[in-house]
Amino acid sequence: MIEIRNLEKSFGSIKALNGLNLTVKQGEIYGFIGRNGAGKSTTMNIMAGLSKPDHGTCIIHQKDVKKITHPSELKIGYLPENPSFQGWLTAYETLEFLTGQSTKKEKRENIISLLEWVGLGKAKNRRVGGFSRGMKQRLGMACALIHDPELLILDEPTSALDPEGRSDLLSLIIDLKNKGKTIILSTHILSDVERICDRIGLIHDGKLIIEKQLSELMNDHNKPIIDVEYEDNLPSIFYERISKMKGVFNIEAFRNKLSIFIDDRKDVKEIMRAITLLDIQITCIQLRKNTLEDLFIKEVNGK
Amino acid sequence: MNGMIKKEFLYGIRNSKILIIAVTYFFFALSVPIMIKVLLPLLLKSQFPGMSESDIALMIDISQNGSMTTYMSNMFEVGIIVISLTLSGLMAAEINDNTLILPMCSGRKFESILFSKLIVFGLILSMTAITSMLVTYGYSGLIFGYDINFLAVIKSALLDGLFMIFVLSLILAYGTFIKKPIATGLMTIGTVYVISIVGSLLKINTYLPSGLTAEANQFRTLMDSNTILPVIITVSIIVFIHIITLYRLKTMEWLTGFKVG
Repeated sequence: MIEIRNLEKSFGSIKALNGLNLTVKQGEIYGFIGRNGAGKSTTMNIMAGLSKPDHGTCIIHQKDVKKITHPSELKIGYLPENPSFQGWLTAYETLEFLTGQSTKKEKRENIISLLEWVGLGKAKNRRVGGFSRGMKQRLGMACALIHDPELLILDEPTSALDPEGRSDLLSLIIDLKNKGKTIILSTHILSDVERICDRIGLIHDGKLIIEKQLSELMNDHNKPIIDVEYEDNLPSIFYERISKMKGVFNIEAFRNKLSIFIDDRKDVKEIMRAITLLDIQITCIQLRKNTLEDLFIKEVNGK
Repeated sequence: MNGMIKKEFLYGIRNSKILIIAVTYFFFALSVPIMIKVLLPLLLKSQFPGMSESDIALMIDISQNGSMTTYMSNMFEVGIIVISLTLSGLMAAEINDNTLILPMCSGRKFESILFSKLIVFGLILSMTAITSMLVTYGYSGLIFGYDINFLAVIKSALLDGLFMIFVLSLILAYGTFIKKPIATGLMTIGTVYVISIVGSLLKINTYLPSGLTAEANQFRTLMDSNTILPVIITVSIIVFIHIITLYRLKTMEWLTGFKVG
C-alpha cells in the first residue's frame, strides 16, 4: 500500500530524511514513532502528497508521489498534527464544504453520521472557532474520513485529547481497521501504539532504525525490569553496587525511581532479594515486562 | 465548486468583508454630492470670507459631472486602500494558516479554490462598484440635475468593475507568493498606485489597467481605442496573473507541523 525507498528531504542545511525505507501493508495499523525532529511529519507530508522528496521514491496506491499534480490523486485521508479550520464555519458546514458531488439528502446523512461517530453530533451547528483542541482533532478525523478513503495518515491524532477522548479515538481507529482500512499513525504516546498497532517503524535522524511486527519486537526484547522506588537520594555507592549485580545490564534513574534492566529471567529473584537487603528506604519494588517506551529510549539513546 | 462558492460567500458575510466594502462605496456615493453642493462651498467661505459664489464655482465644479469625478477619484485613492487591506487575507491567510490542507486532501482542486474566490469577490466588488456608481449618479442628479449620459455612467461603472477584478487578482497572486496578509495588501496598493503614476507621467494609461479608471473618469459613451485597449490589456493581465498563481499553488510545498520532525 505504501512503499518508501531511500527517501531524502532537506530544508536548507538540515537533512530531515536521510535514506528512509518504509513499507505499510494493506489492512494494518502502522505506528510511526520517533523523537521530535526525527522526520515523522516530513515523511507524513510527503505521504500525503503535500511535499515532494528530493530523492528516492514514495509509492502510494501504485502512484509515485513525485509524479502527482494534486494530493487528492493519492486517495488518502490525512489528519495533520494541528488541523486548521475556518473558525467562522460550523462543524457541519466544514464537512459540507469538503464533500464532493452527491445528492443533498445523501450528503446531509453522511455528514451527520460522521459527526456523531467522532463524538461531535451535539456540536454540529457550533462554529469551529470556539472548539477546544480535542474537538478540532475529532473534526479533523471526520474530515479525513469524509471521502471514505482506504488509507488514513494520522499525525499525532491523540496528542490534544483527554484520557477519555484518547480512548474513544483509539476505539474509532480499531473500528476503521476492522472495516478494512489501512492506517498509519504517528504519536509520542507509546502506550497507544502498544494498544492498537500491528507493526511499528522507529525513525531516528531521518532513517528507519526498526521496522517490525509489534508482537515480534516485544518478544525479541522480552527482558524483565525491576522498578525500585525509594525515599531520599540514593548514594552513588548503592547505584554502583546494583549495577555490578549479576544479570543487571542497564539502570535508568528518574527522580526517586530506578529501573533495573535484567538480562536473564532466572537472575530476577536473586537481584530482588539483594536489593531489599541494601540499606535504602524502599517504598515500592515491582517486576514488570519491557515496554515499548523502554525499548524506544534504549534504541534512540543507543544511537 | 458550489460548496467552495458558498464557503467564500460565508467568509465575506461572517467576517464583515462584504459589509466593509459596501459601506466604503456607499459612503462616498452618498456623501460626495452633499460635500460638493454644501460642505465644500461652506468651507471655502469660512476660510475666505470675501469669496463670491462665482469665485467658488471657478474653484469647484459644482455639477453632477464634478460630483461623479470626485467620487471616482475618492474611490481610487481611499477605496483601493480599504479593499486591498480588507481582502488581503483572502489567499495569504489561508496559505499561512494551513486552512487549505484539509480541502486539498479532500479533493478540492486548486482551480476551484482560486476561481471560487475570484468569482465571489469579483462579483461582490464589481457589483458594488456598479451599484454605488448608479446610486451616486441618481443622487447627484437629484441635487445638481442630470448632465451626464446614463450610458456613459454604465460604461464607466463597468470599467471600474473590471479594474476592481484586476485589483482582486493582484491580491490573490501576491497572497499566494508572499503568504502574509498585510504585506499582500501593501504590495497591492503599491502596485496599483505605481501603475497609475507611471501611466499618467508617461501618458501610457491606454496600455495599462490604470487606463480603465482614466477612461471611466471621462464619462464618455464613445467606444474607441482608449476604452477597448485597456480592457483587452487588463483582461490579458488578469488571465496571466491567474496562470502564474495556479502554477505557484500547484508547485508549492505545503508543510504542516514543524519543518523538520
